[in-house]
Amino acid sequence: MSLEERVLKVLRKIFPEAKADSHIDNIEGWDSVNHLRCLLGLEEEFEIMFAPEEMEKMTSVKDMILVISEKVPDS
Amino acid sequence: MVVNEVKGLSGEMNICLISSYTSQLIKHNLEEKSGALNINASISISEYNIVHDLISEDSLIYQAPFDFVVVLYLLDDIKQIDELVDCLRNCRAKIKGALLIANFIAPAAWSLSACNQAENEFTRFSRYQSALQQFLLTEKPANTYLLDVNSLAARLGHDQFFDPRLWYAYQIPFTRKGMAAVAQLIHRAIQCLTLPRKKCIVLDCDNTLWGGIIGEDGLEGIKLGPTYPGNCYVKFQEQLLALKNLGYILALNSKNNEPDVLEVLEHHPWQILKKHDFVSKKINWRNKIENFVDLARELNLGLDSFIFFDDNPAEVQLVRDNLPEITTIQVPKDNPVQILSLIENNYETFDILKITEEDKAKSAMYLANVAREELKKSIVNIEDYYRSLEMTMEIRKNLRVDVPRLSQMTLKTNQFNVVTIRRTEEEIISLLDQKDFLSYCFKLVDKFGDNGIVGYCEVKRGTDQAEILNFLMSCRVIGRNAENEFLTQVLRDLKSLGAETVTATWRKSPKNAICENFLENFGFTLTKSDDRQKDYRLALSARELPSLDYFQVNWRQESA
Repeated sequence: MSLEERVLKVLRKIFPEAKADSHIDNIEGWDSVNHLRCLLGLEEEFEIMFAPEEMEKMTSVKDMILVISEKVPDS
Repeated sequence: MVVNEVKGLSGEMNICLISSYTSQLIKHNLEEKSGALNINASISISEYNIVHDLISEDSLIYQAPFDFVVVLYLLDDIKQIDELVDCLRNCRAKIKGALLIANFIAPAAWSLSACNQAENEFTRFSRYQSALQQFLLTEKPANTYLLDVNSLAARLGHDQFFDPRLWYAYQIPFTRKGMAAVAQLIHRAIQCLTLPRKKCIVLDCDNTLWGGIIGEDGLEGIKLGPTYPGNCYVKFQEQLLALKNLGYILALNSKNNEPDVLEVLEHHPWQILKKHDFVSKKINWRNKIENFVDLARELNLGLDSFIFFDDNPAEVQLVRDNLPEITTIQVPKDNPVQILSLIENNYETFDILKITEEDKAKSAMYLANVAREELKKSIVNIEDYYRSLEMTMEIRKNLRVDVPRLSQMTLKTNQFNVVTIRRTEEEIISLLDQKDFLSYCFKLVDKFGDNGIVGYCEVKRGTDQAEILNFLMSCRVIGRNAENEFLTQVLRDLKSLGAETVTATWRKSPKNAICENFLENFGFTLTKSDDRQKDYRLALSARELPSLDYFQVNWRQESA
């Protein structure tokens, strides 16, 4: 499974409509609580930890992939 | 609020979390967990001070009749323990539902110096923790329970439980795992207080209560004693005894020669569970399913009240396939240490929060019941049997001390429950505050022991008529005519208060066919009936109300 697919798999548990171009502004209900739920889900999926600074800027699927790919060597 | 099983299974449980930290994620976890319960959680986060929010009239917890209020905080959020306890006491008095209170989580400092100082976070922690405990144990506030968050943190480990990053960035103290664990703990408490609990633990003997096979290894050969692996079985029996003391009843279902097993129960020096600890012993070579059917009938319990421990996978499978209502627990073979985690790993099955005096005495009562059955077999005339029981019925009227037991009976009684109205303690208390409401219950003592409070009747009184709102009797005392004597006594009292007619209703439930004709047989006249309900009337003026001669009757009531 590609990194993008894995990210989407986690996101879809919270936002079933999540897509590769999903963004905090184009998904309804992406509030601060759901944002955290997504990030904690990603941490578990990839067995990594985000710094608060990273968490703040991971507001789209693209940004999430960007941050994660820096932390997961083989992706 | 009426909590009933139907509500527990399909209705909505309204819960309010009040916390000193961000608890939205715990709420999400809790709602996802719901399972058999439909949980609808609201949330109130104190930004300033949880103690303040607990007493404020504007606080969310006072805005709706929540079924459960859960109070969450951390050691550092509380400045004065007395103040917190005062607020909890106050909150208890104001809310109707159950109150679940987190306990304090023990600090886990790296510092060598901290714990060597006179006043430090450890001394503060233990002072605060014991004050909470004290509040619960000495004041016994109704429907109030502690959530042992401290043990959760200890089990997971401090670093797995706390997330400083989430704390400083988002005011969330716990890791994802920690939050899931807290939500699960809350869920367990709600489930334990809402759904009917298991009542009887049924045990196999060989390789379950002791290592080895008594029929082959003999009294000296089985593994039960102070050294490994016998010490595991001793410990397991101690765990079972602790459950018995909490209100479970124990029974045996074992393929063995009965004298062999009895020899262990009576004579083995390391045997913890004695003969009298088991209310029934099915030690024979019959199929275990048949034994279970007998046990259910003998103890008057539904199959869903049983938990079964057995080491033989084939027996476990047999029970699972044929009696799926029974909770089965496979005892690991050849791994005695693992036996010690069985109860812990199945904690949801064994959780008990509410223990009444009746629960504690239950085992003795079931034993007495077995003795009664034996007496019954030896006596041919049924009236002689009743007389030989030497029964004393104490009728208790409007006594508030009885409320916890009365509520428990309305929630648990299914068979002899004429109307099946479930009531919480708070509801009964508010009914007792109404002038036209009368509550009667009775305690039954016989020569085999005290059965405790086993019958309950609610009456709404008008000027010259009265209405029986609720009437039920515990299945423990079915078959002794106690229901007729109790009703007679209630009716006599109503007559003396000026009632000329009494109305009553039988309402069909899935399990109450046993009392369908009770009112009719007593002498009530059917006034209306359909397939779900029968309405009755009785003219008291035209009726003698003779007492049954084999009951000695006493009255106790609240003095005016």
